[in-house]
Amino acid sequence: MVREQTRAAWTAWAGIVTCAEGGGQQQVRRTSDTQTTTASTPASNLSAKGEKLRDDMDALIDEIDEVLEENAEEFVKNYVQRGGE
Amino acid sequence: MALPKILGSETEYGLVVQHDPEFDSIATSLLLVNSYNADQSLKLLWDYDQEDPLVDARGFELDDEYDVPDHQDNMAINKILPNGARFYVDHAHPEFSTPECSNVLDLIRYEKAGERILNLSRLGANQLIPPGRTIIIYKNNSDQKGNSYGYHENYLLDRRTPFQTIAERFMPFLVSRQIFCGAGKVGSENGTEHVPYQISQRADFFETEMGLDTMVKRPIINTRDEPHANRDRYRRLHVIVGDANMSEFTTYLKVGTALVVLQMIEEGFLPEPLVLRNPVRALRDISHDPTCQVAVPMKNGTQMTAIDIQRWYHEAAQRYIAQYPDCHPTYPVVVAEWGSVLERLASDPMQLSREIDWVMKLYLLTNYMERRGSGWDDPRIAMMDLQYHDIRPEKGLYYVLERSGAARRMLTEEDIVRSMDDPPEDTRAYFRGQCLKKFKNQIFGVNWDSISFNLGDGPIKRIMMEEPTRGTKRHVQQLLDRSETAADLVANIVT
Repeated sequence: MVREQTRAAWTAWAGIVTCAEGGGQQQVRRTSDTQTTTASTPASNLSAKGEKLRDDMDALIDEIDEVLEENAEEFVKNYVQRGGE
Repeated sequence: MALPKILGSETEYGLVVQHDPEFDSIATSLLLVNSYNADQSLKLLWDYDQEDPLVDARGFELDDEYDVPDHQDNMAINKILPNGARFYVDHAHPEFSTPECSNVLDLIRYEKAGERILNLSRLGANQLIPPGRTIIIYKNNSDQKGNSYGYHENYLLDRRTPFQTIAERFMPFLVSRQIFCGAGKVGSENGTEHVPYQISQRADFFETEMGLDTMVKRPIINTRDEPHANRDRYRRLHVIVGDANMSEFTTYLKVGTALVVLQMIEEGFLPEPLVLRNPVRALRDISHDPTCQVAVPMKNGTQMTAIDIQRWYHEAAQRYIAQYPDCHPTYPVVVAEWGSVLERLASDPMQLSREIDWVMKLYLLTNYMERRGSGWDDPRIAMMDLQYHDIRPEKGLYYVLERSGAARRMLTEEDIVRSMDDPPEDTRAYFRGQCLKKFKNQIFGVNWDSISFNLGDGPIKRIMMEEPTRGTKRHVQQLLDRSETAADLVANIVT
């Protein structure tokens, strides 16, 4: 029964990610280092904010490609550790 | 009121030598540990007389061999640092143990200082290996091939609280807390059901509810009874079920909430405990569901999600801080942050893409796949999963996020840098650290609860430090100031 619920959740999950990425109806806004509030953003600002978020993410993903190790498949395959603790 | 909570963490790092597929992990770990501020004239021993890793909190002692290294090996594998930390080789990994801390904010600055120290060691060690090769170090817990290495938290508790009480009441908290402190992992391992992504690095590796082991048949509650302090007064709860985190905020919440919950357990503040029907299964099922919606069966026949379980603890914590306004000043802030995080996890976990490691990583991976038109089988996704934990500031993806403002910070660089050299001022780590700064050539051996001096003639003088809340700056600064030499210090303590 638990297993079934896990699978159902996974199906719904793709939608959750897409919704959060564009900015959606709710924007998380930081007011200070120890406080975070949720406030609705006026509709007129939404598309501009969404675009800014997308641009920032585009730049970030480009930077990731620059620093990412080459030959990813080989690299990950060779990463083998002995157990610890 | 409960005794003050002294705490610390131990991080085992993963490592690889690029362009050397045959690299020896033990030799590389040794090289790393000996490449940090290498002062080869120092002859410091780790004092194994004080170690007791085979005593079980349930009241028995394991009949097994425990190898103590000879002097030469001891010096090579153990470094005790002036900030009070221990940096050493544990099996095939470099390991960093923070000094004893009195609060969560100190803990995160020392743990982060550990990452910087590992990176400096790495830069030093790279000079000593053949050109073209590079040591790379990861603060994670799995190699994705079924091998896990640990991240352990330590909390000093009152010996009078029965171990069974702690274990029962802490178990559901530990099983469910991963929703805000998992480090995230692509795929599954150790024979568990396949998922593309899961919340915790470690959950797949836990196989029993309680026990002494840490490397096989890993238990959710570890029973090692080795207080490194006065055994009649204290126990040290050794929590092995957590992930090593990159995010400062995630570490803050992981450790901060554990402190509040343990305080409530010790004071008998929690109502009748929640009991999971199958904690091992629940740990894995919760980890395997990044929507945080999966419900796990409770012993009373109901089902609860990890968020429900955490809310139960959080509501108790809110009542606790209302009833005890003079509790530790960090607690009310921790409880407020905890509540806010639970709310966001319930409405949409992706709102935590600046705060919680597993969400930060997932957010990055899904955006990457979307822009590059790839999927979970893209080898670059597995690479990113690993490289998120790379401790090189220029290469580690967590650090890339941090630089771009996409990671919520709790510390300044200045906090971290000073913690590489200066011990905490309000635990016995202060005395250890200051002795290492002032009398390093006369120190013979160190353990968490002792420091011994070689004064040249006569026997070794061992000073016991069985009380972790003593040896603070307030207690010992005058003593240190009026002791020119280690002999003065010993004489001033004895008289």
